[in-house]
Parts: sequence; structure tokens; C-alpha cells
Amino acid sequence: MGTTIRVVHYINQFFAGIGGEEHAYHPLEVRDGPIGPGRALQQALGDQGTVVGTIVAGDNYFVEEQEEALPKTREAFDQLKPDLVVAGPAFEAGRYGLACALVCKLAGEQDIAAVTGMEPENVGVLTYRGDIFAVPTGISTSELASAMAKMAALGLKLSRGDVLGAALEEGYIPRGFRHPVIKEQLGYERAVEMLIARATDKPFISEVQVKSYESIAPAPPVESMSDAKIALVTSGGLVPRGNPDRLVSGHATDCFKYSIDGLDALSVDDWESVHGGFNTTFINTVNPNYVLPLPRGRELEKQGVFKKLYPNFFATTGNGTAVTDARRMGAEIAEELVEAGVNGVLLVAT
Amino acid sequence: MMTAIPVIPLTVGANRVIRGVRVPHVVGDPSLSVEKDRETAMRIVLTALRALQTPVDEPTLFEPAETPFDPSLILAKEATRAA
Repeated sequence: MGTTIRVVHYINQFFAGIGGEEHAYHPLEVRDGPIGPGRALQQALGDQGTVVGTIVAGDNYFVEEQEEALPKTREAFDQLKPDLVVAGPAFEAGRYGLACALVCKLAGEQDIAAVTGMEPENVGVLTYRGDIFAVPTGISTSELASAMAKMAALGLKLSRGDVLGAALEEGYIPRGFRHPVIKEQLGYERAVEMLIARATDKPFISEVQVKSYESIAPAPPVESMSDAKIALVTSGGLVPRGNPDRLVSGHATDCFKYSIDGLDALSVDDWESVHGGFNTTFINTVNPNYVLPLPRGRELEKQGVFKKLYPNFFATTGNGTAVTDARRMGAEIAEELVEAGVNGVLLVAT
Repeated sequence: MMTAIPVIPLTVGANRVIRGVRVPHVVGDPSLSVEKDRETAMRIVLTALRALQTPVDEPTLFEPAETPFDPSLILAKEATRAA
């Protein structure tokens, strides 16, 4: 029989029985032992783990006041010394899902095993996919017991430092990492077997999981172009010559903003592309405007086809960029442009 | 989104996709004369503006060749060398 590990559970104000949305700013507190769904967690852990404490916080509090909530969570970890942190499950609750993901991410940074559970499209797992281990759940709290059993089993494995297998085998939401493995059968044998299975309508599991992308609601059309403010954005790695912000040539996690105020065109003397995924000769020796159509934009602005070109453009390198990073950068850019009253964006993707 | 490879943004869910020329020169074509190069770029940008004004309910490709084009939109003189 192994030893009993120390488990800390994170839940929100609702599951703690404090109240609903009206208590969503409930500040973080630590309580002894399991409460609410923590009882199901304790049951699932059996004698392999003891829920020594429960961290409770309101959803709005945790997500909106992270500068306070995260240090307090860290203090709670220091105080309770968990071997394993279990958060949620959050099901489809977005802010709760984010809070659970942040708690697990923080635990991971402190080298504490952590697991959560939520619906696979929950913003928590979409945002922190690579940082956390999350068991997929449905949207109904009636699945609490079965979700908790899966979270406990995975959590116990993680706390023992077991090497986990592939996400689909171990039952957690894919984290976006690929690891080399050795298979008994050679690749061509597996491929032929899969092909035969497919041709004979037998089940098979592809070794290349094609990621399905979320569908994005289209923005409504620009009503009046002659009144519109238009912004330019590029993923062509376009930067001021010398690359002062050190934009990377691939796998970018940052985008940068540069002024085009008063400029009618970009000159090769002043601009360059640092993109590592295409031949930048034309951009860097002939015409940088091939990745940012500033001259045409200026002409259309002067002729009143649209009203104004936004005085800054945004640039990143769209080469091997992770979807989560792209999503975050896009949101950051959109936030500024919406605030500035921009009506439309011309984005060049190389 | 202006791109030389529309199938990628159309697959991943970009809703307004405009066909560009080539990856190393999405908006323009250095193999053409300066005038034709400008016209090519202008057509692509005008197509992007047309796309912005068009209601769509799924990823949709807009072709510059199908955009009505007014040559007067290209200014006769341009101050800078980078055209």
C-alpha cells in the first residue's frame, strides 16, 4: 500500500454553497478538509489521498483580480503543502474554467501535480491547453461523480510522477504536444492496416489527429466604407530595418505595433521582413509594401474610398505560430482597434 | 485576409479571404511593369474592401479578377520609390 498524499481542492463560490452570481466577487479563502464536490473527490481518492483543504473563490474575483488571487493561491499552497491540486470540474462555466486552469497552471509552476476537468471547448482549456491536464467533461453537473473519479485517477498518476501516455489513451484533453514513441509494428504495416480497416468500414484511430478549428462568427459588413477607419495588419514579419523589437522568424508569441503616420509607402531602406518561412528577397530588396499595401491604402484614403487609415500597423511572423498564441495576439490587436473605432482590417498573410 | 494560399485560411475558418499573388509578394507582382504591378495590388486591396462590405456566413473566397476596377484609383504620380 502506498502512502496517502495531500490533496488540495479548488472550487468556486457556487459549489462552496456561498451563492451564485451575486457572490461572484467573493474573495479567496481556505477551508479545512473537503466541502461540496470535495466529498466526491475524497471518495474517488479512497485511501490514496486526503483532501486536506479547499480553496474557495468567486469566479469574477479570481479571473478579474488575478494579481491578488494568484499570490493568495500560492500562499494557500505554501500553507497546505499539497502533493496534488484538483480544480473543479468546471463543466462549461467559462470563468470557473479559467480560474481552474489558472490554479492548475500555478500549481504546475510550483512543481505540484494538478488536474482539472471541463468541457473541451471551455475557454479555460482553450487558453491554457498546453499548461494544464484537464479531463474532458460534458456540460451537466450531473456528471460530477464520474468526472471526479477520472480527475482523481489522473491526478494520482501525476502526483506519483508516472510517465503519461497519449492524451486519448490516458483520458485527458490533448495538450498540443507530440512525443516520439516506439511502436512494435512498422509504419507501413500500421498504415496498410488502417487503410484496410477504412476500406472495409472497420473502426481505426488515425495517428495524426487533425485538429478541428472552431468556427468564428463573421463580423458584420462595413456599412459605409466612405466613413470607415481601416487598419493594416500583417503576419509577414515586417519590422523597421534592424528589427529593434527582435521579432522572431518563426513560432512568434508577440506582435508589434509600428507607426505609419505620415508615410505614403514603406521603403526598403527603412523596413524589412524577418519572416523565416518564405523568401523575403522581394520584400527586403524591392518593395516591403508587398506585405503591407500602404501605398494603395493611402491612395484610396486620399480619394475618399474610405475615410482614414489607422496610423499604426501591427506585425507578427505567421510561421509555425501556435493557435493559442495567434488567438491571443488577434484578441490584443482587436481590442486596440475596436477601442480606436476602426471598422475594418486589411490583413496580409504570407 | 489577403493570402496567396486561400485554402489554409478557408480551412481554419477565416471568413473573408482574398486571393493574393504569391507568398513572397502577396499584394503585387514584381514580374510586371510598375503600372501593372500597382494595378494588381490595387485590385487586391479593392477586393478586400469589397469583402469587408459583403455579408458572409461562412469562410468565403473573394477573387480580385471579379472586382470592378477603376484605373483612376491609381494616382498618376507617386512621391516615393517604393510603389
